[in-house]
Amino acid sequence: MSGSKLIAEDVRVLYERHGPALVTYACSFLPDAAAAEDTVHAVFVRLLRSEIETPRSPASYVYRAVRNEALNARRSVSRETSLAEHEAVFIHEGGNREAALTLQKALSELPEEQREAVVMRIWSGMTLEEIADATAVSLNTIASRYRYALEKLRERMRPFSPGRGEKNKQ
Amino acid sequence: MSDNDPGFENFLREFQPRQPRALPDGSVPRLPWRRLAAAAVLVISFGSLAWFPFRKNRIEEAPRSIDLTRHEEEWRKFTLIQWTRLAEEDPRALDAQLDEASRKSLPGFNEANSSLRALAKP
Repeated sequence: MSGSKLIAEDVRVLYERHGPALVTYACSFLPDAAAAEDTVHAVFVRLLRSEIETPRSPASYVYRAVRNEALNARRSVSRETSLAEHEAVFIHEGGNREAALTLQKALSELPEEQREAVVMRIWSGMTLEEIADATAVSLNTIASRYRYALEKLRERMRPFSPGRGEKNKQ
Repeated sequence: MSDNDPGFENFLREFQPRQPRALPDGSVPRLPWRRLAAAAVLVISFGSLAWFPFRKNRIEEAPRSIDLTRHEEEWRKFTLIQWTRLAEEDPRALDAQLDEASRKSLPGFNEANSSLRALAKP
């Protein structure tokens, strides 16, 4: 992706790699997964239709674009809707829907910068160095944000992760 | 730095975010233009390939026309004196020349120094 223009193939590669994580990320700004999916989809369709200079960090660019799109969409969507009434953004391997909804809610309650760090790390598969580069924040700051985010999530997810909620001592 | 809690990280990865629907193929307006451009290049290329042999044949045919024209020009370069001398000295040669010329081109007779006018003069 080092060309001067972000071509369609680049956009599709970005969508395949970061699309699901971006839906998760957008879902923390929006009342339901469908709206989050629409938001992410709209951002990428717009990217396909326009020729933009290749950003220094394409992942960071799409995260910013999705965030802005989600915030715009949120203004026209009621925030009072119950999360349980909608389809969960996560699907648990073991089919634990309650755990999936709890995780979704716990994520949405994290400070935005912590949520961004954990989504980029866990579901976009980025390293902390890549996240630091993408967000233009120091590596130590990103590591702290990520650590705090994991602690909060661990606490919230403790009922669903018996034996795994304990900090790995190895 | 990423070894915060591998066990819990793996537990979180058990939750897979939903896959967003596929991007529409028709949302790329640049692709049809590229296809059109490629088609135009192909048409121009094949057109050129077909045109050059045709043009070559035309060029090969051209000298015959040029020969006729040149012959006519040479024919018209004969002066009245030359024709007269030829008629007096060798009438058969004159006839042969006229026969040869008539087979290749009709002599003009509208011009002031045309062959027929020259011959018609007393």
